[in-house]
Amino acid sequence: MKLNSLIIDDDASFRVFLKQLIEKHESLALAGIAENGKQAIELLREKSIDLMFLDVQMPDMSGFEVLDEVKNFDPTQVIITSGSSAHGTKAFDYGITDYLVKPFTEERFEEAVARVKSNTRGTQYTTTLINQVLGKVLFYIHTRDIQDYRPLPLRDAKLGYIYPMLTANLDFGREEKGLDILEMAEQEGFLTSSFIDSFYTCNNCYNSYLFFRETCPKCQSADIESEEQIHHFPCAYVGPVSDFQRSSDPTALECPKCKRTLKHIGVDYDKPSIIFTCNRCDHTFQDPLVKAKCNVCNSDIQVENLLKKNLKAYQLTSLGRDAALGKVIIDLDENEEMEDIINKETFHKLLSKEIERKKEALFESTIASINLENISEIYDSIGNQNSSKLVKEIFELVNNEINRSDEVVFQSMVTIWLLLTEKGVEKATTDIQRIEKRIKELVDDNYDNFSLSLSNTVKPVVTNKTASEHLQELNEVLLERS
Amino acid sequence: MINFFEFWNQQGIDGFIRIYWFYFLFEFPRYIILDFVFLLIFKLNNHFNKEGYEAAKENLWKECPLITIIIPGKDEGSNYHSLIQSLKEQTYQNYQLIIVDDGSEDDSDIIGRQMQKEGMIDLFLKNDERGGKASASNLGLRYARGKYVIHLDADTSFYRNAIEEVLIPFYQTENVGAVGGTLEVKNSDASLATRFQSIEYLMIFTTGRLVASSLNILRIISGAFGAFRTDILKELGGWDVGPGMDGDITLKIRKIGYKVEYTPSAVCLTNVPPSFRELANQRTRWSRSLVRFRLRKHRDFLFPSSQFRLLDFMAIMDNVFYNFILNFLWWFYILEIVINFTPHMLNIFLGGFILYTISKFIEFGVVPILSSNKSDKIGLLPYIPGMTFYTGFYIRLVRTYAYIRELFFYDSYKDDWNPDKTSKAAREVEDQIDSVFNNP
Repeated sequence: MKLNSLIIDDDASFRVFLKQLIEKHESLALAGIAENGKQAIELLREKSIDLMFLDVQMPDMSGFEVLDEVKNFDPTQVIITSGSSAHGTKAFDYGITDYLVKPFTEERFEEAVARVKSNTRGTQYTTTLINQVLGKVLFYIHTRDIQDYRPLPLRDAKLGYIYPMLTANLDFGREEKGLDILEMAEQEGFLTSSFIDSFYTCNNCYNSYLFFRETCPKCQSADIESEEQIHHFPCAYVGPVSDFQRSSDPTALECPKCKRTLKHIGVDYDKPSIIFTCNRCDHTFQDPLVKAKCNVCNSDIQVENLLKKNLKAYQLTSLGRDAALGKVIIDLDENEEMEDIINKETFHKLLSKEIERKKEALFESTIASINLENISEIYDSIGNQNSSKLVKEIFELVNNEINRSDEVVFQSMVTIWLLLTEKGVEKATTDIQRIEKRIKELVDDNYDNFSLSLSNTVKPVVTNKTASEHLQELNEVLLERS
Repeated sequence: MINFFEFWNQQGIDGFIRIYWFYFLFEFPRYIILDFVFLLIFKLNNHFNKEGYEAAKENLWKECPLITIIIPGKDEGSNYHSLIQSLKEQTYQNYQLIIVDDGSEDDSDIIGRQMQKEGMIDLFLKNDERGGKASASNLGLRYARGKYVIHLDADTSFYRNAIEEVLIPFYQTENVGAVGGTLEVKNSDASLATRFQSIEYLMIFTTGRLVASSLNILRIISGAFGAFRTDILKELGGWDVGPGMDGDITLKIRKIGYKVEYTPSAVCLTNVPPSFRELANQRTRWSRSLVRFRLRKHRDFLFPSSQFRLLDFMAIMDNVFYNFILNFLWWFYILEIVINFTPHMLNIFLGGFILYTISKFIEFGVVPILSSNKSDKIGLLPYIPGMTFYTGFYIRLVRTYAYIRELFFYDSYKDDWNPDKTSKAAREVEDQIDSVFNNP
């Protein structure tokens, strides 16, 4: 996927120079050129821009003023191009990725672009990008006058299907995102849908290229054999078909018990069941475990844990038509709920405040961590999406258990941090134990044959240490234990 | 009352014996004398054979063979948990547990599969098509890996040492093919019917089978709790179509020359029908199988043939005579008394009641001697007088009805205990046995 780039500069010769560099670059696409700040702001509102080459000194306004005007634009997608290095500090304050002092070499340019690209990869797909791709899709549906925007089966696609225009705009690694984009667009009212089919994907890497096979429930080997059982009515003998086959005449069936020849199924015998045997561990069973092996990431998944996706055909609504024509702004907000849950920074800030507060007044506060020691086993078996759901559930549960003034975050998928205000270690410990009990109940009730083990650390908040030191201590205790 | 004493004074001992000739001729020698003689023999035997028993026990533990527990059944899912719990408590733990679900229509398979997943059952097999209890047992047998097979009903529970005890006879005597355990009633307190059955199980099954075993004429190992040598079962091809498959397999094991033992030390508890109506159905089924298997399928036992052996003959004769012939003779006896002593019926009835009550108390006397759990048997004492009516009239009536129906109408082949397909096929096969037998 190429980055849509915008040039903003009042110097015409530099604009031409930069245009050439962009067109030559394999991961950049030129989306527009602005001669001044006003034009730039217009273009930024109209188009979806991934990268901005911004001049600082322009006749109508400065580059920073442009950034102030378009508040939503991510400053990490900006490269400043300026004749002077004087604005370096200011650019740094804005969080701008790179600063090119004219004139610069092609190598230096490449380096700056690479920095932006690595930023983009880090934040994955930004809201802007999703909106942009959707814009393209809506436009495509509208201009081609497609009544039913249907997926096409394609063996090489990650999901086994592509949506024209949509899938091609996504990396192979993120093709499954296309379904989410369409889903969001439907919720937003741009599209309506009708069900076509459903399919399953790997719960780890979202590929739908899966190998299904029956496996031994004991040793998970796929090296198993099945045989039909015969029940011979007259003598009540029951055994696999091979018991009834004689080497002299393989087609005839003869009862090993009463030596009669079997005549007719349903009259003197029937086949009441099928029995499997495992060639590896010699286990006998009737209900093989059906597992799906992902061709890409090699995960071997129980079919119950595969992700089910619905495949739909989409129709453009009048709102969608307006969006395609640019009359309505496409502004999908991909809710990254996990950000609220796994958020060390906020916790760090709150803890700092608490330490400050404690300096002013006399009260006790406590921080604690709860470690979900073996929960990774569950994460491994249920896949990313369901793991996130589980984390959310635990998060909500803990949130309900604590006071409003307390704070909880996940430090990682396995460790929970808590800040318990105006509570001493002793009282906090009983609270933590209660919370642990609730978490264990939740997890154990939902996952058979699993018993969650937890451990906790409780420490008082003290004024002579910084927030970082406090948190480091929590982690150290954890590390020592493991 | 005066009348009563006067009447018996007149009759004297001779008259007493004359009137109750049925009791003194058949029942007293069999149920009182024989029982106590053999109880004495058994006790003496045990006393002098204590070392033999201890040695056998030691050998069992030395070898500690893998055994297979087979539990066939339909719609028994609700019993699995308590059953497995009971097995977990056993002193003998080296077993492979196979549960066969014979075409259940409830959630048994869901329960069973889950338990297999959790490792509580080694092998849970389900036949989607119901095939009858024999076929279910045979399917389990096909996948049995143990040296011995223990065949259980799903609604039973066990004394903690039951499995260990039922295996010991294999190590005590040579050439043992099968061992039967003792059945006691689990739901004894449920109703009058279950109390009577409780007494009946204790007297008839415990004592009766002990005597039969001492005489080497044991003819039935209960399907609810029996142990078999796996190789013999496999040689025989497992069980034949029931009802009465327990008795049938026992006879077949005897036929090929193995001993069949009984041990009063291995006790399992089972639920019995709680009402007289359900009890009648159960007993009708049992009684039919006497006709079907003793008089039809295995009638070769009764006649001199190449396979004839005296003990087998006695085993069958004891059964046929006491349960079948005497059952009909009883009605003749009643008729005889009614005709000859019409005016004295009340006195005779009263006297009979007293005689049988005393007799039952004496019979019951052996129970505490054999039983390991004596105290709870005391509670049954007040019900013993009622046994006169229970065994004297109720059971006899049910039996007579069943025998006649089976003799003339072949009811057992219509019993829904088996699916039609197997009953039909079994009848064809058993008819062939008949014709082979008639035209040598």
